[in-house]
Amino acid sequence: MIENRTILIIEDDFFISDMYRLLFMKKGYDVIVAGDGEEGLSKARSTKVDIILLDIMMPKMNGIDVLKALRNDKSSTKDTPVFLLTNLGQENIIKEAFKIGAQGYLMKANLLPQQVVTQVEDYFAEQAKK
Amino acid sequence: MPKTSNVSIASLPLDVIFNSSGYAICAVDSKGRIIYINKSFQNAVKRENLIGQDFDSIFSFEEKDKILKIGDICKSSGTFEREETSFLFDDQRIPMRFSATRSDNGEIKYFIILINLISLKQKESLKLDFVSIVAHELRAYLTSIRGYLSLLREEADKNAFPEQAKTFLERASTSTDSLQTLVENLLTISVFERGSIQLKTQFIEWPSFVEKVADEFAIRAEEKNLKLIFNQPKEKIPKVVVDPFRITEVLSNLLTNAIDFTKPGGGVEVNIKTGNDGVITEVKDTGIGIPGEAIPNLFTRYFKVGSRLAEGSKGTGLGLHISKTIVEMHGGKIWVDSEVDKGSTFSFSLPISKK
Repeated sequence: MIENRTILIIEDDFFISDMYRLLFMKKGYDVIVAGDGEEGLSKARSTKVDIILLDIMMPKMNGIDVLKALRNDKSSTKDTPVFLLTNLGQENIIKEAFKIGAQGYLMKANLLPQQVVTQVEDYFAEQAKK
Repeated sequence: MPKTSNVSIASLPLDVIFNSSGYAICAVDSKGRIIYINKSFQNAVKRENLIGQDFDSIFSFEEKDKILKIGDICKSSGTFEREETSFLFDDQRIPMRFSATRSDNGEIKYFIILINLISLKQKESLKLDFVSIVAHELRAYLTSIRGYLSLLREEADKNAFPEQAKTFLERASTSTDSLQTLVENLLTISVFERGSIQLKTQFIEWPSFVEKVADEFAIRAEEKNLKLIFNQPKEKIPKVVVDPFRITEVLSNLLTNAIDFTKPGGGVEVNIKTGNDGVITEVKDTGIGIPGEAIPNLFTRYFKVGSRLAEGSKGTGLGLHISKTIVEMHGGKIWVDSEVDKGSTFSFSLPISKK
């Protein structure tokens, strides 16, 4: 049996993160959630995860700073795929995030939770082809 | 001159009129000496004993790099107006609109009217901030509402919810989607009005582009038992230069309206042709039509045709205002021909690319 993929959801809005958590669990993922940037960073460093969904506006540490920390790190998180959870009007932040090394972004308001899962699945499917 | 009761406005003391105008007003005589200031002027400059002083020695106006002297303006005839100048006073530079009107009534040579542009702009900016903040907040909650509704709909299908419960869910979802559209429109407008939008244009094969958008709406039309047809143009349509994302908003708006305002059994047609104004795209419906008196205001912000049309209709009327803004940004025009109970045809033009 193939080992479950582990996803880390760093998002301060509990309703949003729990919505994604439920669906990813149904798809067979192991789901870890973090409610702010600091907690997210420490969980990313202490557990091996396959992908990170990262909100931008969060207390304690914002998404961009988390991303910088993840990427600057010489540890295992350096190559962990990161998808930003974004809102419209954050185009400049998205650009910056791509420069720092994000793999993609998911516009929360435009995507139903099922579509978020599909996009993550599509990403893994594409990676498997490479 | 409109009058109220039998009292002519001319019989009111000028001071009352000036003080209630909200403008800073000052009058100078033929030698450029201040002979009158109203309350707003006094409040704006906060200086005592202005009457009798030489205007130019206290204040100056700057137009680009030129200093305007009231003495010089007094020599010109008629009305002197500038949309944007600066008012220099006590080392402050205040952008403002400036207008001086000649009066040959005795010693008074000019009225000088100042409007502080900064405060107008600040007010507008605060309003836009407010709209934008509220819309962003609303959207955060909407994301969660829409998400959970879609999860609940999945559950409803899997677990055979009672039919009535499913209907309730569908209605809640439809309203939520409408609310989402409204919030998106508010955000679009706040961005447009800040003037911070730049089109990302590219050459587009227009008919196939429009056909693709129309196809997406054909399903929605079918659900309402409407026929939506895209007619292949009979002539060759030149390429146009558009921002695909923005122009899709225009097409979507027009198609949504056409579907919303047409009763089941009716039809919507999309046509493309060339005309004097360039490439013209038409969205024609057999809907309820728009009364003639409503048409001039149709494209203004927040306008919605009255109760007659409002029955069974949705939206805030922001969509057409946004469409007009986008079409005009592309150098085109938008217009409507409509007859009540017969239908409406919304058309917009796009200039033909010279390349």
